[in-house]
Amino acid sequence: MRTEPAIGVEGISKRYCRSLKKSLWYGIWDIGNELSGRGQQADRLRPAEFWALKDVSFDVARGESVGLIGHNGAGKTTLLKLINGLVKPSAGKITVRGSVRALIALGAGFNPVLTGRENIRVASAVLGFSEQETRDQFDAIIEFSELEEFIDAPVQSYSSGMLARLGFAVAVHTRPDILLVDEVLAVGDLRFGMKCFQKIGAFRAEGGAILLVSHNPYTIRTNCDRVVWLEHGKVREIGDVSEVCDAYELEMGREAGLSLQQRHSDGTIRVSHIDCPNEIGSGDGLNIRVTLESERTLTDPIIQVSFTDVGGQHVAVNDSLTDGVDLRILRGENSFELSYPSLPLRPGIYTFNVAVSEQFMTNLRLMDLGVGRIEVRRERDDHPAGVLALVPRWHTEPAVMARDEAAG
Amino acid sequence: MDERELPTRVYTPESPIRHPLALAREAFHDLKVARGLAWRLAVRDISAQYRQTFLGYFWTLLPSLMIAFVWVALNRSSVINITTGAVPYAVFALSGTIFWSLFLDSLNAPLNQLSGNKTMIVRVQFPPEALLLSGVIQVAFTFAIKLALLLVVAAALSAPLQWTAVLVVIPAAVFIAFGMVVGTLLAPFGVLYRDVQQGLLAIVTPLMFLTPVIYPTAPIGIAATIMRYNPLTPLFGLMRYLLLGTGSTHITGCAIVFGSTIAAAASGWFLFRLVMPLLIERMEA
Repeated sequence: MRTEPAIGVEGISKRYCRSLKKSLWYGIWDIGNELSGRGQQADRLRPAEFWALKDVSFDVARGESVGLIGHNGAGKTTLLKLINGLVKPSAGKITVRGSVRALIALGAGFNPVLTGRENIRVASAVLGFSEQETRDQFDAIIEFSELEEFIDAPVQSYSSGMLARLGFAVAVHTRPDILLVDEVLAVGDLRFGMKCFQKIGAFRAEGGAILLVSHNPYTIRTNCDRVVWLEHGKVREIGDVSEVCDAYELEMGREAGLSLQQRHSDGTIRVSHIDCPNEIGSGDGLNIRVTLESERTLTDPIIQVSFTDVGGQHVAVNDSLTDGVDLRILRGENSFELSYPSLPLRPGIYTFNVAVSEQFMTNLRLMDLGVGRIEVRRERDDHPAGVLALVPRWHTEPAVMARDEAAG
Repeated sequence: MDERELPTRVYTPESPIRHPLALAREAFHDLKVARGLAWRLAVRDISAQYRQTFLGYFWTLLPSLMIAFVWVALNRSSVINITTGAVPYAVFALSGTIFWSLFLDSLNAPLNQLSGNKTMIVRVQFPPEALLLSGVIQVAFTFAIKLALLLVVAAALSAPLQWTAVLVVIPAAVFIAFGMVVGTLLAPFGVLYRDVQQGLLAIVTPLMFLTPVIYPTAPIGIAATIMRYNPLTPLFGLMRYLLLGTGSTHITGCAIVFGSTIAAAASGWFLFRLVMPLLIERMEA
């Protein structure tokens, strides 16, 4: 009995409809099938339908944390809904052993004109708390949310971060066996996000099973034991965290570069080669050598180099104009080199774009774009968050510490 | 982790209707769990509804009062001529409009609950019975306020209030059950197609004139025939008889409506449970 997984997903498929009109009509049919006992078993698509999930199988053991990663529309949320029993599969079987709590809809059931206090009562009832349990947990919930001052104000006066805090505080104070987490923790400030992950970590340590959905590999790396990578409704890869996340990050970077390149290239200038190391340590220097081929001479080109992390955030952007570099591109092959004395980035995979533009009237016209990729190695204990991996020098003055102690 | 038996749920494409016993067991279990949640949802909706108004409960009473007032005015100015014997016409009309609105509220409650709680329904797993029960509580609450008004008005106009008036909760319960059952059977289709709501509106408004709401049963003609077979007619009759000692009661008619409502209630409930997952996947915009 012990070895049975908390969540067993066996050959799950789910079809969805793209057209609203047809979807409603199929809805009537599905109701008919359900009432006549035929059920929703389906191995074929009706017109305008697609497989949101196709033949997905995996397990989540008790005490295990499994990440679910993939693009938007890969089927992650659909899968969570199926596991949560909100919608029915079109094929396959899901077995869930233990009570499930989904941190998907924080603040489900909230009413904007009611106070935080009243909404806590509603939200805990929605999540399955009894009146007694709600009373017992009430103070803990308010304390966790850090909203003591605002708890008697209507929640419509809350910021979205405060709302998320209140919703999360209620959700984590229920005691499920299985926790389904959708990327809700991105809401609210960083500090609260950390607190949430600590709570999730504690839950995991107590033997709870977690299924965490995210498209941020960093979140998955720090919180999961195994990863399921979904792509267009199918399992693309499943396995060890670092292996699958590496493969995912590589693919993400490649795709981001490709789509940009196709959109902008005009043909007269080409970024023909980018030479840079595959990986560096955090804080190491970096040299990038770029080769351009041009069919004409440009007297006023601007070259921009920007680094992007896997989440799509620009972490560093430089251009020749702002940096006061006088450039000239001649017909034929040109090359230039950029040296960064130190790149204190957090470990992970980064892509960088080399964009060549020229002044055209008052605008900039993009001529071509090259894409490179670099991995910043993991070398010591991970930094918990942030974009930069800075190592500050700490100065502690005994006199100051003593003063603080006396005051506190 | 402790050694307790973990509740296990299995989700497959199969229809639960194939295992009616298990379906019923689960439904009754959920019904028990749903009571607390239903109460919370009802308290939430009622408090939210009145918190943003200045006049509060007055708005609950106004529509019924207005309709009754218009008919009283019409009757006074002899545009129409309705005689209600010992019962003042104002009390007759007000009792009619209040019970009519009880029926309407009950009819609309299931669909209103589904659309009002949409974001919650598509994201959180909870017993769907809570929505229906919460609807019942809210409808009953509104009705209680209106009934109090009716009793005050009846006393003020020295209508022949009967001691049997306390039993009026019986037809009121049947009104709620009847409206809720019809509403629940229609709600799944109403979630998919707006036509249901439009159609309901088009049918129900004229239906009021073929129900003894603002005048007693028509004696002759096609209106009399429709009124005779209108399932609401015996309920209005019983209600007025208990309240004011006026008119006739068709005990058989009441029994038929009551019996079929109970029978349909079970199927409405199970239908609601069965189709919920199918609605959820089509509810999200």
